Amino acid sequence: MEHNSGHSANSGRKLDDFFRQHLDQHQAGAPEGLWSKLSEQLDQEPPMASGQALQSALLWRNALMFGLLISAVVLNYRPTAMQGVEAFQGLEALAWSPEAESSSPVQEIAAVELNQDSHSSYRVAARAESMTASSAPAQAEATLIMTAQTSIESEVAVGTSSEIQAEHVPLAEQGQAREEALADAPSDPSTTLHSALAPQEHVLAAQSAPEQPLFSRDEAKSSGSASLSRWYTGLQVSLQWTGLLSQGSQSATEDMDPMLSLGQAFGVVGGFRLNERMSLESGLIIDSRQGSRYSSTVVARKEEVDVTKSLALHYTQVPLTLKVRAGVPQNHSVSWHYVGGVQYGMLRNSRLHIENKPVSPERNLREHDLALLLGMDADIPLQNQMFLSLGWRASMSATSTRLNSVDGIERDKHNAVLGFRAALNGWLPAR
Amino acid sequence: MSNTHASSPEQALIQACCRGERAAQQGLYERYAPRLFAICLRYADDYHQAEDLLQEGFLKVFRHIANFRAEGSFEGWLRRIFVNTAIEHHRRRHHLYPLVDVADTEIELHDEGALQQLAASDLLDMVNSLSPGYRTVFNLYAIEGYNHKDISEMLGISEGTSKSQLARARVILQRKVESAGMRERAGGFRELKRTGGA
Repeated sequence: MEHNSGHSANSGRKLDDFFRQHLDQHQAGAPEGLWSKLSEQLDQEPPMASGQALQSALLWRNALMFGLLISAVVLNYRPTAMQGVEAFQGLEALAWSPEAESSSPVQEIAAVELNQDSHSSYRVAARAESMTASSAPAQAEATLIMTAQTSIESEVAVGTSSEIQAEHVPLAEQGQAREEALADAPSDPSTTLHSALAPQEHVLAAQSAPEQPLFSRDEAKSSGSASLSRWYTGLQVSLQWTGLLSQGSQSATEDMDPMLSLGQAFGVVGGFRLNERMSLESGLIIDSRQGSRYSSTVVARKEEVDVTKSLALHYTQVPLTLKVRAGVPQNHSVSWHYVGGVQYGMLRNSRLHIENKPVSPERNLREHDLALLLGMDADIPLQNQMFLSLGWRASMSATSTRLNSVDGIERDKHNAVLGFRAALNGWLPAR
Repeated sequence: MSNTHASSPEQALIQACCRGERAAQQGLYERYAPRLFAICLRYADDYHQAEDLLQEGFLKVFRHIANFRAEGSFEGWLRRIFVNTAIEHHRRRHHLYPLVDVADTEIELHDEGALQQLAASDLLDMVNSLSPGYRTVFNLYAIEGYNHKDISEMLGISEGTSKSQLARARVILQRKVESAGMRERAGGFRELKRTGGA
């Protein structure tokens, strides 16, 4: 039987070879008048190259705008802590200006501002000094200041943030120097340091806390007992509208009208807080369903048929984004963030349906994809060191994903996705 | 496009077509239409459908000719476009593609010399007489040289179905060969069969 099968296959190949030899180079007279029809149709068509050039130009323009936007945000960013230091130094210069009158309204305002600014122990000293510029009994009260500063310095020494420490230590040292000068200064019995320091107690308490909360980290910390690291992790889901922006992306030689289709994605997310305003976020989107639906019209001599195709692409994706907080959030409030970055995608699976019937697997799509990502997040603090991120993401593949189809024509494809995303995150405990 | 082909007349014709020059397009059409129409005839159900395929194929060629890279032959690129166009037509017209596997059937090629008596037009008629499924698989496998995996992906069928359909197509073609032009050689066939093809 095996011999017969082998013989049969051999005979089959000979038959194939014979037909190929005779038909492969066979020629047939082209139908008369066909060129005239072709010429008429070509007259009605827009030039293809200009359309592609326009599409490419639009893509690069969008990429450039995105890059400029991110650059502007990064370059113009100044940490809030640094802004506070600069503001404080300005007030300090004004309050301690030797040219100014000790009781001038401007100096009073500066002193009040210093009092309200709860940034460092040095402000306590400055406040005390401004109110006791020539007070002899202040010498007797200097111990209180020393105590206050020592308290804050110890807070700084064990502070949860290196930024706080870097900022507070020099300021405390300056405060110490000023305090020594204060000890030698003449006294003014009309003002007491007790009255000056009394309202500062809550300020001192506030000093021990880190800066303004980011991603509800501090609310989470206040609600929990463990100290938290800069890392957070969570789960995310998305509901997204997707489309393939170039015609012919399913089949390069077919004119099709692409339509949006609905997809979804899910995966894990992880982030690292760079500073009080920015963080890097990445993750693994285990499955992201994208794709498009197409309506194509088949025009022939005898028929004109509308055919609907549905192409589903399943990607595994790795986004890498920078989250930049918009504005200064209040405690226990929602914080808004701009999100931008890139996203790598690997095509795992694809399915094609024609008129709801599954047909050949789509093998012409490139396996790897790189996309630009933009979006916004609203981070909502929750209990138990957790927060919920709700937002949207828009992405478009930046690389010219090439299709190498059966007919040898290669075309660009750009995956476009607009998704609404929810992520439940939790801060990791510090080691 | 590579520089190695930059000076060839074919390359000049392609570049002119890229610029949308109508005279160049007509020149390309006249040069390749006979060979490409033969491909259309092999895949089409009838002559008119072959005309449609030829027209549609050339429209695609002129739309996408700027995408051609001179990594292979231009004629090979053209052929793929027309074959793909024919397959698309096939998929549209035969949505309910027969997915039922056909049992593999042995064929015996008794007298190779008898095949030489047939003209290309006779062979084309035989191929055209096959049902669309058999015809498409036979064309793709035997003439174009695709393997069963490629064919299964192109047509949305299993590899087993592709193999079975090819086998059935071969059997039918062999019978047609025998009945069409080999009557005078029938005796020779039978003699060869009796001796086991030795």
